[in-house]
Amino acid sequence: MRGGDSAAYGELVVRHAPVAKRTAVFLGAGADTDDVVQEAFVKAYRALGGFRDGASFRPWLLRIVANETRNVVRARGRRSRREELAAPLDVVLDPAEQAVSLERRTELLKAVRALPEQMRLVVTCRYLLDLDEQETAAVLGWPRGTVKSRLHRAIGRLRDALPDKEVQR
Amino acid sequence: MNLDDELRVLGRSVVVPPVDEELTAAVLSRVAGAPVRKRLRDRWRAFLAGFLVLIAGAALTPPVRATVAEWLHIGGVQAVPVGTAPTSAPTAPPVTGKLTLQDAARVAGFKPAVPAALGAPAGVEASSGFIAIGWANGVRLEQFHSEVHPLYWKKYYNGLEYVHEVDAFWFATPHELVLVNEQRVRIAGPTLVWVRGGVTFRLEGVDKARAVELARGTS
Repeated sequence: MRGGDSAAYGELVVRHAPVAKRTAVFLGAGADTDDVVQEAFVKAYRALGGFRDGASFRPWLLRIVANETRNVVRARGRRSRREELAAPLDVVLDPAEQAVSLERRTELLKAVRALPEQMRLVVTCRYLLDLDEQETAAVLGWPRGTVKSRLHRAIGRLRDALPDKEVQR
Repeated sequence: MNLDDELRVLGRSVVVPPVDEELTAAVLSRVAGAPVRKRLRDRWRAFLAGFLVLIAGAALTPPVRATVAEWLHIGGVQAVPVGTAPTSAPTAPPVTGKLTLQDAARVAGFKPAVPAALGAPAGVEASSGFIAIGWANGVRLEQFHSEVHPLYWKKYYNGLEYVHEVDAFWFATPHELVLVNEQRVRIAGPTLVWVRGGVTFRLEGVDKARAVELARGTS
């Protein structure tokens, strides 16, 4: 859509950049996060012609972010999966969050990272990013039924993997 | 607390650094076809571009609800969706000025593009950055420099359609046309809007097929 005025697009960038960045970080873009976000917005603009009228911009954008992230992760990914899991967490958890202890959150994060890719993606979108089921389906490009079933299996795996299961507090 | 909620808390508690402050300017400069660079060389330009975007956003746009239809700017035209629309439109106002195309170019500061198929215009008007050309059969073609601020708001009810062949937008139904600077409103009929080389074109007074044909033959 060459006709699109870029000033209006700038407003969309400002509005959606935080969630785009969050998504890239959560999906593992690491040091490439800012590049991924920038690239995703440029690609989204160029692809506006294929955007379905009346659809919501956010999941559509996040899908591009997810694809870009996957590309950089793959390009970078000479590290073996084992090394990756052993590496220190490169995200910072807010120690002030009281609802769930820092220790428990660290455990959870490690468990999520150890999931097979598709389960990790679905848990990340649905819970860590707190997207609804429909948005998750749009971002990952899966049917809703697939989102449901993979999520279900992922939660089952997490339960088994976590040392103290669903501690009541 | 169940596992789902624990995971949500985990997600919320991840500290993500703020967005790169040059992001918006960098994206805009890349999509605007400016020299493609990942990082803007000129910080001042970046700042200025970002600043203009903020101004434009603050002054003009109602809350964006994130669908394309709701934020679409087409060059100097901003499409604003509304709940209801007029059901009919008078014919486009005739262009009564009698400038030659050369004079119009001098006044407007750019050379007008004209659809070859329509022959000699019946009227030509111009002001700085703006030219209107009319033909005896009721066709009206406006062309103006597209800037950060839209010249027009088009309040459309439905029927905004992208026309791939000519990279244009077809406003299929009558709609209120607001000239932003002068707060002037008139009801416009179906209109084709497109942008070429920094100039926005509005073509009114013909059906879609004819409009597309004329747009294609405008140079």
